[in-house]
Amino acid sequence: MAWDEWEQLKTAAVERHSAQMQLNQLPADQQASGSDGSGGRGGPWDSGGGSGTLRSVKAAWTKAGEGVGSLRESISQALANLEEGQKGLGKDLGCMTAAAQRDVYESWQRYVKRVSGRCGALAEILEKTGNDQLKTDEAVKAEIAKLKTEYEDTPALGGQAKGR
Amino acid sequence: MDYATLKALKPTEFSDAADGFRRTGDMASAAQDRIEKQITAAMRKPLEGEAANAALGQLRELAENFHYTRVECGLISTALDGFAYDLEAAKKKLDVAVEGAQAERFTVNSDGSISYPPGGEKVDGELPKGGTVTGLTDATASAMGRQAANFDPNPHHGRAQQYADQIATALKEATEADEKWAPKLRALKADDDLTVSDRDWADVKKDAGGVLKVAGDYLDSIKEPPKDGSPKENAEWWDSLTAEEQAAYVALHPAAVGALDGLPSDIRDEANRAVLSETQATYQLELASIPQEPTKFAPNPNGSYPAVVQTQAWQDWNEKYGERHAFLTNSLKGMNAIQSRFDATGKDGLPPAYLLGFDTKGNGHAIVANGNPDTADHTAVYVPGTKSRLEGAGGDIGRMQEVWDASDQLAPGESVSTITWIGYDAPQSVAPEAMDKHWAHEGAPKLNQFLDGLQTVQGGADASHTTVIGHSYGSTTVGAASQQGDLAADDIVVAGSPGMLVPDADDLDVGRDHVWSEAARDDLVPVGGKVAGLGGLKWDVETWNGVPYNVGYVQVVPSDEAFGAHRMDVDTSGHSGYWDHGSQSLWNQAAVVTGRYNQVKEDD
Repeated sequence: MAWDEWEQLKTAAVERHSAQMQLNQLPADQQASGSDGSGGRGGPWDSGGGSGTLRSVKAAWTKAGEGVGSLRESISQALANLEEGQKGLGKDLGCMTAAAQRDVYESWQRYVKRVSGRCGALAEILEKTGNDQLKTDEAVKAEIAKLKTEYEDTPALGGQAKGR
Repeated sequence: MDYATLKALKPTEFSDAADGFRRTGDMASAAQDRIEKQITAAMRKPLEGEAANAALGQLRELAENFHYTRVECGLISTALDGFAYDLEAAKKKLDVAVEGAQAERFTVNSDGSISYPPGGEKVDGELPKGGTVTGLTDATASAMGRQAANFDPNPHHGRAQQYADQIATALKEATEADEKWAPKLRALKADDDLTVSDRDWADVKKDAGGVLKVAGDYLDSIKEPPKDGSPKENAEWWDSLTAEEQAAYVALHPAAVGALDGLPSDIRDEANRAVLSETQATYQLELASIPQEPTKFAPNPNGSYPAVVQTQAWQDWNEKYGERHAFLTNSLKGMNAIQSRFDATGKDGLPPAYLLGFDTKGNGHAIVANGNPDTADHTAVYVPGTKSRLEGAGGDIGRMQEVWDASDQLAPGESVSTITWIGYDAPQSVAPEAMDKHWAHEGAPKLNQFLDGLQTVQGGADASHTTVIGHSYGSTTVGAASQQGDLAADDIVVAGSPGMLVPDADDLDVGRDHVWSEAARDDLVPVGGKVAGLGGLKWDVETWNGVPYNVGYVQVVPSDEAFGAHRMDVDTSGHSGYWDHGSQSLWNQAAVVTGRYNQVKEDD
């Protein structure tokens, strides 16, 4: 981008930053400006390596969120393909493999749908971080912690549910 | 399985289901790549801090969900194709028997029995009666059935019995296929939580073994890879397979596919990463099951010399678990280093990594590329030296990251792939092992095969500018490779070389002008190499302060002027500093790798 455009962005970011809430719990005067990339005390908008403007940092969060969110489209397409492959195998065919296949199909339909849900939930957190709704490290981590509990390992069932 | 069921079953419905799973696996593969190579990579540069780390952690787990999905879908689609194959074979037998029976005007009943009409010569004025026979598959019963038929003056009886037996055999085979496949397929049900744990990967491995066990006939129907084939032959074999067949091989023989030189790098990476995840998981579980190592030393109860002795508890533990514990721990160290490299994509601009080789046999091996070599303008292959093994992969991978980084800066806009090749059995001690040449001679064909494989997928010798970088004994192996075959490289860089088995740079396949040596002033290995005899021999006069003291064959190593290689400037010290970040030693290597020869700083 042209130098003057860069300068404009920088100035705008500094102005925005000084008027904003703190990025984390430190008092504002201890916090280095994120816009000149000198690296603050940390926070979701802290620019890594001291190279980004505040806007580019937030854009990175938003872009990541969009990327993860867009995975849901491919997943729905795959689920449609998966279902199409099941034509003819729905009814009871009197054969054990067909019954096993049905169970396997249903388990993966569930799994893939849940992964899609996970994508959506994570995308939302990433986008919220990018557009000011989540403003502190703690806020982001808290949202992520909520996600984690939903997806935790269930070792007691994990092996046996597969029904060997 | 009864006649009505088999008659109604359509194998194509199972292969259609297999297709659905395969496409789901493809989606998962693309999603995993997007997360690892694009999304997290793009986040690493601009973002830092606890929130970013937490988010990256979640993305890693999400990528694992997709990885797991991809591997399992591969197994499921292969199992369904395998079952369809076996079912098809049984159905063919059934159809042949039914058509034959019907052609002879017999009736195939709904239970698979066959009714035949009266026929034959009249006996006592009457045509011998018709009847109904049921198939028998048991050998004895079948023989008895045939005997009974032989007694019947109606010739249809025997014919009908034959058809009925064929039908029964077809049903038996279909039943056997059904019974063998159902449990193996059922084992491939999805996990009921979204955390892909060690247990889950271990289960994947076990389930893959289960499918492999029963997939014999299906696999036999697919052309096998060439035994000891050349990369070109391997590539031709791979291209000759259908998508289903390729998927079956990756699912059931990932280690073999991952090791095939000549196959595209992304295929090898896919196969090897499945093996990596499964191996990491099973080793971690096994390690966790070994009781903790007891305290090794205790004060000597029998006096003061020696002051401490090994405790009995430790000795017992060591006898039972010591070796296995060390093997698991060391292997995991290497595997975790490889995994870390995958997790680091995007950091400081690091390109995606490709696992082109992996096994835990012997000292363990790994081949890790930074950037896809198949399409790279410049390729570098690094052959490490003494003590190289899977355990130390971290350091060796790190060196090629440095070379990649420096090369990327020297050649903006050009694609570079740097590859760490721990692909041979290196000597594990300076003395005595590294004094022996056999490691080099045995490792050489593997190196040649690997380089040929790259050349094949890249599309020929001119497709990518290739540099082989040999460190220490690795350079000796490069020398051996050059001697044994035609080294598929354009440039050779050696650092701290103890000798390359040849006396002159001209003896290496790339030509004297393309051989570049680095040797720090305080690197003792070149001298040690001469003592061990790893160099080549030249007739020469050795002088000291201008006074000749020896005439005869002397050892020549790449850092000697007499060798005739470029001797690049080295501003690092010791035997292992050549890849220090920002050093001239490193820049010189990058200059050669990117073909910027005029930027090399050298003596003379």
